[in-house]
Amino acid sequence: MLAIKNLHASVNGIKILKGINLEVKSGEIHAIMGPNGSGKSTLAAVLAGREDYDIDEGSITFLGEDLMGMSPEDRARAGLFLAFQYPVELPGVSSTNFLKTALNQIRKHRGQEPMDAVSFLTLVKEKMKLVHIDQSLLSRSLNQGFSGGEKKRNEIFQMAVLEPKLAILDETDSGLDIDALKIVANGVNKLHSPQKATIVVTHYQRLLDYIIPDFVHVLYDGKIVKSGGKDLAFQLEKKGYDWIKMEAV
Amino acid sequence: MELANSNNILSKSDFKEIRVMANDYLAAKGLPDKKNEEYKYTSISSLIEKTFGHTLTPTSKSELSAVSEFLIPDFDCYFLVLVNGKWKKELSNYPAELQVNDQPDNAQIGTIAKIENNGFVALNALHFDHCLSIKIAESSQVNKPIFIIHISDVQEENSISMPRILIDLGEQSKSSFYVGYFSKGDYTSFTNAVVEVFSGKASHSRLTQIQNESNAAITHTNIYVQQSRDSNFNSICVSLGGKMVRNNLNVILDDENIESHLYGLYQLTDNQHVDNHTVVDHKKPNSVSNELYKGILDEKSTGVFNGKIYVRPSAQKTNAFQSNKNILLSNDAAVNTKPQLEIWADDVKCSHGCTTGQLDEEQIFYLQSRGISKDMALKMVLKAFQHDILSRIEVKAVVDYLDKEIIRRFGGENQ
Repeated sequence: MLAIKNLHASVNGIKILKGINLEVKSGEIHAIMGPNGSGKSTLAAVLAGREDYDIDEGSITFLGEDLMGMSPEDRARAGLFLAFQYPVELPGVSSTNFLKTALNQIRKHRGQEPMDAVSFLTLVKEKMKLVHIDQSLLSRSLNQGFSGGEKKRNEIFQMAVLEPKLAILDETDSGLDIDALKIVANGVNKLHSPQKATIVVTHYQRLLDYIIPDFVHVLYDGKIVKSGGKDLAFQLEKKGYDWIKMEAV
Repeated sequence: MELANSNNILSKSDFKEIRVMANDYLAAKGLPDKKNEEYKYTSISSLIEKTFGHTLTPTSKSELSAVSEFLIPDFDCYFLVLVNGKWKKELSNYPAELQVNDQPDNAQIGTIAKIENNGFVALNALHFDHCLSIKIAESSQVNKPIFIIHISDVQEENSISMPRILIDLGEQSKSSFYVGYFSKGDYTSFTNAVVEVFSGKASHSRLTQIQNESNAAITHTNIYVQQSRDSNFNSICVSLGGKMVRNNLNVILDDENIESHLYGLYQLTDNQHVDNHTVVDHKKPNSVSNELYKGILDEKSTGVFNGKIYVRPSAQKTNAFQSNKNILLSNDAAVNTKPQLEIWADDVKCSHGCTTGQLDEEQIFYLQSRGISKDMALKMVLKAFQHDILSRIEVKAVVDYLDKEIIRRFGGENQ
């Protein structure tokens, strides 16, 4: 589904990613872990198409297409979804209107008719249950005044409505208490299927107690320095990142 | 400028006293120019002189016989029409019980819009044709909004208009006024309006101004509001048209327990210039004022916001808030914003803030990452910014009309 080859990326001339290789297949869950500043969020942002980053070298293909030539909206329409670490507040933009617009843009891309108001509402009601989101949130401005937990749940809720093929969760666990974490993880698990893939970017092992990864990769100084199964996450939890740093040097 | 000493104007039979005062004032001081601190960024007097020369006598010619094109679709209202500043009863539509008078024998005229306040007030006082007076009776509620439609008829030549309006709101009355400024034709107009609003005790009123003239229009509005005890006044000013627009809005909170809300939205492009000068004068204790003006500026357009808040020594327990927010869509657009708070009382809550910047890239990217095109994302963010003000207009038909006019003027069909 996703193939990243020798990816080098920089921001304002500072090199952040220094040769990432990663292959993600349908049905797989990958966890990308690493200390702060290792380039985890940069990788997520580059995949989603943020313009602030320069791709210096390498390639990314998504479902056989060159991702780098695509705008952020085209990536989303092709089935890529980034759950933001810090979801952006949009005062005055109604949550419902936003989600309906987004869904219909994606449906249009898939050659589907726009969804009518009634079907949309039914869909939304069903998906809200998944992440225990209150309907009143939908009548508010997008993310405005939402608590940290509400914002993260809203990301997963959007993911549930938009049904991406590849979901990238950027530090979705940060700032969540254990109950909210379980809700979010449960939502992600329910949305996962053999036709879909998930990349979980996280600093802590905690989330991986609830979202069980097939592969764990450790990112350090812009490179994947170690890959393994879910056991690697436990090792990191126990021993911290220092031994990886030592190995990397 | 040779504004004064015009004998035929002084031959007008009505309001002799204020016309003489206005004439004397203009002879001595003229119109304020760029050297005047209040007009530093808006050289409207030199633009007028360049366009109209030295004499600023209002235009009398107009054969406009229909106004349907200026009515807002589905806006159920009474409407009062002025063409080139002159009252057109035959084009208006209102019930007999609405007290509309074009020859008010009213000692109120000029008592808050004082000649000595400003040369443009004096200019209007010298030249206005009739004062249109609307009186809302005590304890009454007008069942529909009252829409005052001002049309500059510039089909064949430039025009000069000096509309004069007096709104007298009786105690405990409730009413909603709209004032629309429009152009018919492409020549240049100069409109210099004076509106005096006397907001009686415990009255509730709204004044929504829609400035939708052609981009050749030069407009100066002078709105003076005097609020009595327990009254509530709500002003919304939406400026979309005009080459140069200057709005002076002065609200005097002349007693206790008063509420005033002042909102503004200006959206500009090309070489348009809009200047909002507001004064909120808290004279007595225990009142609240809240002010929010927002601007979107594209191309080489320029905006000015100057917000004065006075809290007089006896106006303890005043709450006064002010905010001005601007989005610049081009590197050539600019805004000069200046909050001016003068507070003499010590037990008050006052705040002010202003922001001017580009569109938030983070917001745009977030929307894009959900499959929404960049173009549509920009429009969604701008629409949200506009609707922070437009949503405060209580009639949906007017909001819908303004949405359409914004698209017509600034492009971009939404969704």
